[in-house]
Amino acid sequence: MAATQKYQQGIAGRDSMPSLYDRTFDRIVKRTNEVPREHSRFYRFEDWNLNDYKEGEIWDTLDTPPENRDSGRIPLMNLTEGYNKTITSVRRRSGLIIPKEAVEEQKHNMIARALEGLPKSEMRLEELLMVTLFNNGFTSETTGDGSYLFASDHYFEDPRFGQWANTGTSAAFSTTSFYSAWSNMQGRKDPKGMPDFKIPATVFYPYQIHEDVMKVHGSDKYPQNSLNAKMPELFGAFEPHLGHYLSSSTAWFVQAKEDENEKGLVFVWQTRPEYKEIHDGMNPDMVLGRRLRMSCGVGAVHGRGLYGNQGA
Amino acid sequence: MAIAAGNPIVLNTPSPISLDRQYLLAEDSKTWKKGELCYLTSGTVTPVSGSTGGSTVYGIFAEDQATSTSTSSVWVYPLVVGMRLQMAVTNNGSDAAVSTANIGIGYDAYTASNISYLDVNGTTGAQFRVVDLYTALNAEQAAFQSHTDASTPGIAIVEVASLAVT
Repeated sequence: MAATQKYQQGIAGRDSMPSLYDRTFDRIVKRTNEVPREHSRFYRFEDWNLNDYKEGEIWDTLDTPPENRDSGRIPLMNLTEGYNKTITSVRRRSGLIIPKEAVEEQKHNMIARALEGLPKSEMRLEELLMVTLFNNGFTSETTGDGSYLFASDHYFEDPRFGQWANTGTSAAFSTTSFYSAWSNMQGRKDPKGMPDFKIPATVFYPYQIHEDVMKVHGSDKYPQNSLNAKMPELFGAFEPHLGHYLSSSTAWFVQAKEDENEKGLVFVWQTRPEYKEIHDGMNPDMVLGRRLRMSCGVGAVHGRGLYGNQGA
Repeated sequence: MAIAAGNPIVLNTPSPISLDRQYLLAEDSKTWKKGELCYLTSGTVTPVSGSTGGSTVYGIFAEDQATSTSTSSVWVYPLVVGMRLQMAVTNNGSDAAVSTANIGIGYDAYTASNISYLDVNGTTGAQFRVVDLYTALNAEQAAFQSHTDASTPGIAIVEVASLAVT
């Protein structure tokens, strides 16, 4: 019996055999989950079962061992308590339904777009959440110390050592401004005022300044020098990372080489995206119904591995 | 750039969860776009025009009508009490912002240039009650689209509080 006949007789209905749309949707979800997120490299991902995720900064810093004879009392070191940050997850839900009529009216393209659209909308939200800290990092997103993510007034936990900066004078991306960023990272201190340098690994920038970045990254000569002066290798020693969700067309950012657990930007999953069937008891003629449920939040515990410049 | 005005978007309906559709006789010599709001007059459906019909909205046109009708029937999604819509906001024809102060208040509809708005100037029928703001529910998307509550037109989430009584 042909598939059409089976369908007409109700044999090939959703009740009697696995729906092709069900399987297709599951494959689309799997495929979408495998798509690398543009901003995931800047984030540490945590799974947490409560609404609020709280994390404190950790510095492994003690004073240098003082001179002390065996007969004396052992000097005990006090750890400096870091600032902490609370990240609150937000619950989100969405869904779609495809009625039998849509199949019979051959709205296949629309159905295909709907099937792809739901997982894609979730993926887009992840990107938007993650880029928020960059887009608002100069103006509203704060780290545990209460300063903006990219600021010149980050406080050390030990107030004797004052403040530190992970931003600089606004300037377009160039060898000069990148060197300022490199220099800022090299000059970073820990809460005891000791060197705690960072090495730039990635430059994250809007596509509008791609040419400027490429001039610095791809050349062994100073782009602005008419004498073709040779450029040190440090200008090519970063990985360019193009941003498509950045709201500023001038701001650029530098990420240092960091271990996963050193990253200050945190993405907290309370509920990873889950899809369940939607049924309507009053209307059995739905070929497919899916609801998406998720809960997550982002926040900056600290900005020690980052540098931001608002550009010009 | 804020989000431009567009016709109402159905966010959800009470059970049954799919939209019902009706084939109704249309008034002659009218044109409209899919998503525009309509009302009933003398047994025919016709688009809300300005504030005319905006306090007695019957449903949403399911299809474009590009040429003048000639006593033909057209597909309409009738409003259902409890249906939620996303609507751009106007004040008697001028794009208007929306704020939390609008929440809980029922307003009429208004159509200009084939776009149906929520009219904060009209409260005669008060069929569309503001229950939330687009920026509150879609904060990240709104931020990316540079859309705030002060943007004009603002975007309100409304619930159909009552059906038209004529």
